Amino acid sequence: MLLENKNAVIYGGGGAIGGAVARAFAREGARVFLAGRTLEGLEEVAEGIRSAGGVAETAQVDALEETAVDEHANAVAASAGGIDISFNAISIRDVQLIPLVEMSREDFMSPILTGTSTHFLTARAAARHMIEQGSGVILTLSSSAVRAYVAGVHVGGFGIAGTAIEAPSRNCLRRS
Amino acid sequence: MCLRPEGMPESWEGVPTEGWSAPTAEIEAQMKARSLLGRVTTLADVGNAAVFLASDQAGATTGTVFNLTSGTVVD
Repeated sequence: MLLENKNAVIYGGGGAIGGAVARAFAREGARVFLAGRTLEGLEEVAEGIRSAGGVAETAQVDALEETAVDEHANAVAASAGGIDISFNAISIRDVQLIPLVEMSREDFMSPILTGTSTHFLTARAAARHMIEQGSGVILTLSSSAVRAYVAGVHVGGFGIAGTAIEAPSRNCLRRS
Repeated sequence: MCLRPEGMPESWEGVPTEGWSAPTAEIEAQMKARSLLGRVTTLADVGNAAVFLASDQAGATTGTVFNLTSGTVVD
């Protein structure tokens, strides 16, 4: 198993991507801490992991709320002994399928503000613990929409959100 | 590090799709046709890549974007 004795926090753990990654982490021996706005979806994923012999915990956390993110990360680090992996797969409230010339500023900015905010908050919370322990991996999530600004494809601000999430993932975050 | 997947038809289950540009089966076919690998990205693809990047096997890797588009986007 590739992730034995690792503690992994997954934001949006009840969603399709978050759930799939959580199950994969658990399959490889990681203890997974599922965080999200609705406990129901988190519990469903956690139950599946537990019934397959894995270890999963859930917590209601809005990954756009600064205090909630910090407190949850601190609680996980305190109870589990650290955070080794952080992955954020929450929905970033993108508005698509509307041509840019018809799109409102609010709809355009929605995924850009949501995506950059949440990835900043969750990465920062994890990094504080990872620096302390001297190791850790932060994974962010973008999409093919970073290259989708072509005729007939209407992704609104979703592609720019991905580009803005990718930029610090390339440049600022250090693995040690 | 960042994961960059293509849209995944598997993840559209239960998602309201009435305003979409085409029926989901058609969008899936278009994505397959556009991809160099002739396939769509799956949730398992993303899980496996996340496991690898999070593991010690990727010990020399940092600060990169992991392309999981099945070749719809080429760097």
